[in-house]
Amino acid sequence: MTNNKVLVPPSRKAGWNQYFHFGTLVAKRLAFFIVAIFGVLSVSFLLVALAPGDPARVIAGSLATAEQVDAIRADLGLDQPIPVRYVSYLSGVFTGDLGESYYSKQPVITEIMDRLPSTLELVFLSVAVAIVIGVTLGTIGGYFRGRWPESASRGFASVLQAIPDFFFGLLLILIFFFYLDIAPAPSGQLDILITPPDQVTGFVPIDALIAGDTEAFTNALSHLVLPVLTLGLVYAGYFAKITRSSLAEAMQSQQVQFARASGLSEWKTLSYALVQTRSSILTYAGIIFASLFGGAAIVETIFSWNGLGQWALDAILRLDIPVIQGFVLVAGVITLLVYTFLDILVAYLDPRINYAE
Amino acid sequence: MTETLLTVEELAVEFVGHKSTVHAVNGVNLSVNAGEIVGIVGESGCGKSTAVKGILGLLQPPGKVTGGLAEFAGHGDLLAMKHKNLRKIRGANIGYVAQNPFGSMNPIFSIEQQFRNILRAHDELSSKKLARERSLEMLTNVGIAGPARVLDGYAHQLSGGMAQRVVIAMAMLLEPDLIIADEPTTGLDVTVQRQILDLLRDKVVDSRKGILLVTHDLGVIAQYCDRVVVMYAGKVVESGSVDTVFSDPAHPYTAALLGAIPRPGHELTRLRGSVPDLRVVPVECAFRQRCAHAFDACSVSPHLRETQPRHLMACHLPEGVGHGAS
Amino acid sequence: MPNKATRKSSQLRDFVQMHKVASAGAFFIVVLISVSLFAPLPFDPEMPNPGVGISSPSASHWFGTDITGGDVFSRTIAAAWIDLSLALAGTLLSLLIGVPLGLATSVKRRWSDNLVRGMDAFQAFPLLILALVLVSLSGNKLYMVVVAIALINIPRYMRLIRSEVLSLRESRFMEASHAVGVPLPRNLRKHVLPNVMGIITAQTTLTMANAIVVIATLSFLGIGVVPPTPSWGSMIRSGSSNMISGEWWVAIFPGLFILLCVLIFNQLSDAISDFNTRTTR
Repeated sequence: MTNNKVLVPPSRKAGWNQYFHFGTLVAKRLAFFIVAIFGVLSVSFLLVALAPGDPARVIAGSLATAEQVDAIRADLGLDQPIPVRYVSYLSGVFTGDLGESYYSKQPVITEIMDRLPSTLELVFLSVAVAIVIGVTLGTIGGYFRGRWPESASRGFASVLQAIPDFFFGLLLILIFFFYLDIAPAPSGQLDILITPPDQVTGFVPIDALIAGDTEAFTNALSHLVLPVLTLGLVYAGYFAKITRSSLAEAMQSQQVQFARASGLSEWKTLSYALVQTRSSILTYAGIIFASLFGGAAIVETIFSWNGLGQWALDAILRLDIPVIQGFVLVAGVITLLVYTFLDILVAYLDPRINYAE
Repeated sequence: MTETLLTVEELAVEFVGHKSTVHAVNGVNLSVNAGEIVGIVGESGCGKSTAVKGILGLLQPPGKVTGGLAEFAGHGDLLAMKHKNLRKIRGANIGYVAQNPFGSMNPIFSIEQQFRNILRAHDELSSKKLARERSLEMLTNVGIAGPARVLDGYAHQLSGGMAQRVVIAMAMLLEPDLIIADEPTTGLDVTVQRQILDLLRDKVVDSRKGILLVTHDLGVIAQYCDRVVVMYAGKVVESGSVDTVFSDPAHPYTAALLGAIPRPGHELTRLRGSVPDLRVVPVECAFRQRCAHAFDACSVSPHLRETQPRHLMACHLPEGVGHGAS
Repeated sequence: MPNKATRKSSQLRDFVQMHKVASAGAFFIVVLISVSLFAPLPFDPEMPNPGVGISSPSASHWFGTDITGGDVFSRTIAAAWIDLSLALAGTLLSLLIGVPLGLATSVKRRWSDNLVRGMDAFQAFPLLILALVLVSLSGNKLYMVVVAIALINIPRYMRLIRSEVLSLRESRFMEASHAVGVPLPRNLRKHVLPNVMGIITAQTTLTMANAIVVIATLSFLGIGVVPPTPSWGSMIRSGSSNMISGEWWVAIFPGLFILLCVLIFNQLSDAISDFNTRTTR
């Protein structure tokens, strides 16, 4: 006797309900973002204001007299009480005035905007390369679990992770510039003898394209190769590790078993497993992007890249306080932007969050 | 003329570890004919899931099939064929339903995408429209009203029973002759269990397919299966029609299992001891240590032999052991 | 009668047997530090030798000499205990502050959630830059290097411990123990602590790896350990200009040592985690 009971799917409320849930998530993230920006502002101020050491003295030099040091201190406004400085700092930020560099006397905001594209370009491309190489390496290791490709993948990823990035950069310069003569000299974004194209976007290769200057374009690209490889390879190790462990686990899952049992090809089955690692990889990409923003400083210095990191580094060594504060602020803002964006992206891509009932 | 869909002989599966090897399956013999439901029953860990996965080539290292053959009608030995041929058979000729329906479905792809991937993997219906039509038809076939909503949605939006129906729809999408269902209802509500099993049975009766049903629930066997295969410690110890085996169990283990079903007025039979260590290759009968009827011959592992027509059992006792009043 | 001491030593033996490579690495580190501290070096690491000038590796100078004529081998080995002990100090400080903080924030959920969110925001900063600022503003005091390492790594300990303790607290056996009436401090001590110890040990080796890189980065920039005291990072710095003209040995050898030590600590961390999962089941 057949029981032909027919089942109706659980009724859903009006279609926009799913967007409502996603929408609250976005709203919450944005609210946190605003609060966090405020926190970043405050901390960047406090950090420098409360750090030990006397910038006025360092700027004046060890041979200066006490009056000279005091004069410098007054000139820089460092003799004001902290709350007063805090307020003037905040009000400055809101009007777009981040002060002037003690050394170049240029507005900090201008110096930031000049250098921001260089660093963004470098970091973005490096993360992209790191993901491509790392995920591939990790996929090989995860798929061939228990066999020799896994050990090879693990070993390779470990070594990459263990190399300090500045050392690796020097190594690459030694090999590819000095011995093999393939790469250009580490002289910045372009050869010394080439005129940079007019600034439109601030990104040198793009500006060169816009200006129709193919020589500058190819030259800019060739100068990108070594720094991007340096950062990309070193950080590929992290992506390889996380991909390998997530994938190895996913390959043991029942989903993969059912996919195989349904007759799907091994490639398709692998994609079923890989898609489960998507969220972790994206989250990691955000973390690495944010940390590279300041973390690329030394590599920038080695390659004379003239980006934000190098600028900040010099400022720290010279105690150029407005620049340091400006950098910390920009870095904090970019980090928060990236984290917030990725949080939203990950939620969007995961149907369990996006389509929650 | 009943057509035999699947014949399995002396299947063996090992799990190779660092220090020891577990002989999880050590002599499984069974067959499934068209139009019948064959149940494999045994306690947890007896190797029934492992055996079934071994047949389909779904075992992952460190497990692997180390012996036997699995002849699938018209296609040859599943255990010996090349991977690309086996892949074509999976899904198209043999369907597979596992225990946890949410485990089988991918949470990130939509249900429709998953149906389409199966169709595409077998080069069928490349047009999106036709694939959708076929999927909707299949969903209705397994008793889901409003199939469009399900198809457009995602796995986490379904209830347990619905999810398992969807999985069954996927397994039957290409109209396979044989369906292997590994504990398809464990973990589902009791009422839902009956619906799922009724659904599976309908498919067999209607279209001359065969089902190999793995379960630990004797009640399910009694109500739904035509024939039963009893496994213990990696071997088949008895097999035959449900009627004969249940009323007149030949193997001591089967008798003990049936005796352990609580019935008013009868004492529960107790089974002493525990399952043998599968890391050791058994020489003696695996059930010997717990058997009340063991004698000298039991120091050698018995083979399956026919005691009555189409009733096989693996025990040295000439006529097996009777169950008495049922 | 097995007591605590014999149990610990047999645990150690099991570990070494299971993870031979990692243990060999740990042994190497110990040897390196001892040699660096106690063994007599072929040349004085801090004494320049202008007469010799820069020269490639040879029989008398195994790693070659740098521009001041200093023997690279002696300097590299001498730098080992400086860099490694600084790293150890930073790691210990992170442990001493991070673990109690982590435990404290895992007691009550409500207010500690906000604190943790604050920690997350704190980690939004480029921490290396923060470290740089601190150390250089303080006039290059070595203790600031230790503080900087601690600042970078304390949040990691806190997160780790907090998540582990919270998940342990909500696990079944804790529920059972509490239901039977075991008081909370004893619960914490007997059940939570042993499980957390394994994770702390694994993280400690990772912190060591990170600390080594931080110290090297700082001294590469001329902050922290400065010449004439030998440090791998500052040796790379002085060798970097030589690199571009092909005199690779000045920078490569210290760099290789950094790489080796970091690799060893990473491997140790993996080995400890693996050992933990295998022995606590």
